[in-house]
Amino acid sequence: MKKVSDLLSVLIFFIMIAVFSVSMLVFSDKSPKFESSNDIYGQSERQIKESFPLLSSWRSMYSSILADVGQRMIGNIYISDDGLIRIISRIDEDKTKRITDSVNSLVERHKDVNFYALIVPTASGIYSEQLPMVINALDQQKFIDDLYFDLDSSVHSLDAFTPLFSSRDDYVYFRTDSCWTEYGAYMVYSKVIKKLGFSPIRLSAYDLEYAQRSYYGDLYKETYYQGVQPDLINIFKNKNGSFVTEVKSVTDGEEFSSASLYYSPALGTDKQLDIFLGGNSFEKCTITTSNTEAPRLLIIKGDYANMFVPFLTPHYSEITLVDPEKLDNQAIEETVDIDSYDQVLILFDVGQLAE
Amino acid sequence: MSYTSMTFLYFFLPVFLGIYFLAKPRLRAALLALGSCAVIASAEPAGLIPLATCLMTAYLCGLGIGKLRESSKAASAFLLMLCILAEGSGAVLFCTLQGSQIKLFTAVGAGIYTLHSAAYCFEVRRGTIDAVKDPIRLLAYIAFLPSLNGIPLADPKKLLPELKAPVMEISKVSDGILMMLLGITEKVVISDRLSLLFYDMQESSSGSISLLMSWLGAFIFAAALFCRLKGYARIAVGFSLMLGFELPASFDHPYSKATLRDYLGSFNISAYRFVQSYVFGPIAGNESSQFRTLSASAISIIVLCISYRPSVVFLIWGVSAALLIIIEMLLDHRLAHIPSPIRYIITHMLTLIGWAFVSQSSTELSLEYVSHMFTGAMLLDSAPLLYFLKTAIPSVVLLAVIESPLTGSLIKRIKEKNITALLIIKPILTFALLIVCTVFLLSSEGGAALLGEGGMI
Repeated sequence: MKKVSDLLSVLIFFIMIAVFSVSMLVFSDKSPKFESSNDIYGQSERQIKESFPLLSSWRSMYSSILADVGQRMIGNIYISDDGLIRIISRIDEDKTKRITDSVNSLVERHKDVNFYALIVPTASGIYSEQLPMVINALDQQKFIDDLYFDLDSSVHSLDAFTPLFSSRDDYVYFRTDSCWTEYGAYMVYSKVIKKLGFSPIRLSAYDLEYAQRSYYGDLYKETYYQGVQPDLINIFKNKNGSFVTEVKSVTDGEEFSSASLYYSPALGTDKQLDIFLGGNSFEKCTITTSNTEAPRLLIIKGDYANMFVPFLTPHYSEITLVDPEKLDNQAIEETVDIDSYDQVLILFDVGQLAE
Repeated sequence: MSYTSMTFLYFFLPVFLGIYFLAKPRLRAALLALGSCAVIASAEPAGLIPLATCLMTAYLCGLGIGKLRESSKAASAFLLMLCILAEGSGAVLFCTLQGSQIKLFTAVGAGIYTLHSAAYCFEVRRGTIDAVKDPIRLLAYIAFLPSLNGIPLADPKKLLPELKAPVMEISKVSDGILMMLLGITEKVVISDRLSLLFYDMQESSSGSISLLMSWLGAFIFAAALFCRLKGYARIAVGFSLMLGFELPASFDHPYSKATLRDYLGSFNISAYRFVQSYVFGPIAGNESSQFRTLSASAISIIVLCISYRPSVVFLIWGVSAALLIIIEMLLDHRLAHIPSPIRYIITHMLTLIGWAFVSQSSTELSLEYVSHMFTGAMLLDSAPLLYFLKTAIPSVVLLAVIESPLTGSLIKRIKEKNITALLIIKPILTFALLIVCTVFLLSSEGGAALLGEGGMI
């Protein structure tokens, strides 16, 4: 009987190992990619972790085990009562300095253009009081203030922290994604647009359309924690109709054009937030509106900008977005003529500067 | 390649065992040597250089000592010293040149193959084994594949003869799988969580740690380190069982011991036996002089401590431990009058202070931490303490269940009674542990380094 038990144990072990290894090698839709580096073991470990069969189920099991024994941190993601929060503890100081220096030199070279900076806090900054005090979350308000201080004095700083903090009990951040919601973006828009020289459009002037009622964002896909409610992707549609006449974007040197800010096929993919301007893959995107007499705006953008742009379209004749991270060392000035714009808005979230 | 990785569990292990199983027994030592080289090269290709140096030194010195041990004792002793010096200085030089980049070599400070080759030369000199003429078999011992995590050290007297033609048995393979999965579970489920908690504690305290928190931190660090070493030891024992070898147990419930000497003797037993056999024995000799015995004990303890990591912190720790144990030896009769529970508490408070000392990266930080354990404010704020306590409890309870002597005796009884129905527990346990290991290996972010950056421990 002992022999049978031993044989059974050995068979169970090797059959399971064989089933998973073979199915990973044969049926995985992700082909292995090895970079030319010495760390072949590290790369193979990453490949296995990314293409292991039933990955979401394994990760979900892990999160459930941790949550069941009272652990609230999964990696750098905190499970709060309302959703998942990516904890930002440290900032990449080199990256921050690089951005500050390049903005300052840009301002120096284009003195006639009005520059504005909007650094948006993430949920980790807004809900820091809800986090256990031992979690070493960055004081984002102080970080943003320090960053504004380092910027050239001619750059107008816009406060996103206060409106988001005041609305923290509302749906301003996704529960399962590290991005802000359209509502969060509106709350900031309604406060900062005055500094840009316009009156905000009232919330009642928008119709709320639910583009997706069960959205699971990047934080969910990292943890697969089942105890969190799915998100809603809302689109705020102006009751007076869209001002947008054309959207032209350049991705990998190829130009695409459409008549809407919203790219609905994205709802059928696993990147559903790409419904806003088709996602963050473009190097440059130009939005033309029917307000031909209105000023022109250039946005040097981070990930949060796509949600913010729909509220700006009634105020400008043209909005151009450039993503410095996608320009591959190409200067912004080679992509756009900065002096031809009336205003330049630098829009980043703190998460993009995190270590 | 770490033995607690998906690459090892799902690819290296089954492929290696498959080839090993199909190979003729006399070729298995060569396969083991090849496997060790692959594992070392995958962690750090430069790790093969000290391995080659160790092999060459041990091989030539072994042959020389073997020839001279009868005719000229002085010459063979000289060769032995030369071998130890060459390997020791080679290890130190290599560690210095490579810094923290080399992962496997620094796993237990001086490195597993340095200690293995020294042990081999010692035994050849003593005449307990003959010099090995087959360099491949010697390589298979020096870089014994299951021990590459740094624990336990293998006995050359037992292992070298077995390496001639290792035999695989289904019962050993089955026991080995279970043992290895339990070891991985201990490392990834308990030790990694506790090590991250200790890291968070350090990060959040920023120098202002309360007295209670510092004791809790020391406890969490000690538990994480114990679990990591025990996990690695179980993996090594399990892996070697699968390959047809039996390695000794590395721990004998050190947390149930009431004296420092007993604690030392039951914690990382193979390393303890190594220093006992190759450091204490030669120094103490056959003389019964108390001074010589005490000096040999002190030197052995210091060597044992710095073998974890050659640094000033570990040297101070070793000297302090040696002093305490000598005091305990000298006052043995008087200490025997202290009630056991009180002696137990004192012993484990002292060990916790020791672990707290080595938990820090520099002497200043170590002294500061230990001073907080006595002079810190009793409780600066209860919230962090409660948070860490609550977060540590699940791992500590699991550790207590796995490591309790009660669990051990219960398993032993079940085995002895050989109850038929209980035999199905083994396959079920194997299945469950494989699932747990896969869940944590796939999803966990890994643990924090406990004995300094760069090492696997």
